[in-house]
Amino acid sequence: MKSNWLPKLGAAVLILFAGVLALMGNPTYLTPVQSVSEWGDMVTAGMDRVSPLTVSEWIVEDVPGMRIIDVRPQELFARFALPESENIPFDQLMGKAGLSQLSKHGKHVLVCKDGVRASQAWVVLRGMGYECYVLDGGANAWVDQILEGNAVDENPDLALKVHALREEFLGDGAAIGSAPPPPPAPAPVSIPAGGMKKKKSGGC
Amino acid sequence: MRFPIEAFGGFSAGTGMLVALLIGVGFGFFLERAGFGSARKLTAQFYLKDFAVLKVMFTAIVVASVGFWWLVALGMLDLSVTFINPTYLVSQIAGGLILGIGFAIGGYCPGTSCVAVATGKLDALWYVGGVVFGIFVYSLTEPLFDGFTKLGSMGEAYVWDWLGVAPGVVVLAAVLMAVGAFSLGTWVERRSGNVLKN
Repeated sequence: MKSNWLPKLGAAVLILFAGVLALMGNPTYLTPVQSVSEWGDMVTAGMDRVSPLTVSEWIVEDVPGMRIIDVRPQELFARFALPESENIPFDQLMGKAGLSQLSKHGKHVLVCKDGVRASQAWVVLRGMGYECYVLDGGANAWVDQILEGNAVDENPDLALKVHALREEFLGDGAAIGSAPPPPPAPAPVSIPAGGMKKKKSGGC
Repeated sequence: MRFPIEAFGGFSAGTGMLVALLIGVGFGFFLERAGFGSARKLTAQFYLKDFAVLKVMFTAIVVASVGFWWLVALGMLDLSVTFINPTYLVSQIAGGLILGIGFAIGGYCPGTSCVAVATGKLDALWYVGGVVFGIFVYSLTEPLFDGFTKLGSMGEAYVWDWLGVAPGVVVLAAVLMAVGAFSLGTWVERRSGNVLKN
């Protein structure tokens, strides 16, 4: 009979390594940013932002653990907001009260008018270990690309997709090229503290 | 080095494809070395005669799992940019059963059928033809199944969230399950008395 010490050794090593993992408890879900150049790498690789098209798909798919945080002032939010978004104005978000509303296991999409203010918030929040992304181009780009369907002009391949998404947000009759109906009423959602599921982004 | 490498701009798309090709060839090579280019060896699993499929696949799963979480623990893998398949509980269980039935009848799973084609097995060639035909028919009739494919949608669901424990605990449980299954498999093999040669 041949010696079977090798599988036993392999099993012992696996049990040892898995055992240490079990004792470590919950891992950090985001690797901390260790050097200044890493910020540049992340922005260059586009890891700081998501396109309006991606965000609209996340909303339609009801991606668990995803929250859309609008950092604009309250009066602008009241006038127009993305579906499912909630308003935590920038000044408030940078304070303790605002930060306590975020979850380290959730995915946050940061929205402002054009993406500038949200990018500032991204640097602070990502540095603190929150998973977050800037809505590329802000609420302006959302209206332009999704509600008015202008992304289609730049990329005809997206025509069908955007058309389906517009129907989802605006109801039937949202044909490409037609004048956009008034934007949907803001529908801020409140998520109970501690009720967030941890979430990893998928395939983007 | 930080993983996944392509998310941090370390690879061009072309390099990524090359790496995928190398990994694919390596995967095929080791499947063939494990004897998985033979439908007789593969289906012996279903008759409780040879547990090589269980042993090889379960070993791969637990080694990958331990390695994955160690990279996370060492701060070398960013989970937020790792793609994880969302769970559709009902449709995925149904899909698993269909795949299992096809595996038992045809003698291969999709990956091993490609391995067997590479070594010139004619039955595998027919099998791959069937797979391609099935994909073609499914792609034409996909709208009919639209409601069904999304049944039991749970998003990205995790066992440790459900149990309220750390991921490492589930990894340890999987390793212990694997060791237990291997011992049981070996015991059954000895009783049935015929492990197939490659």
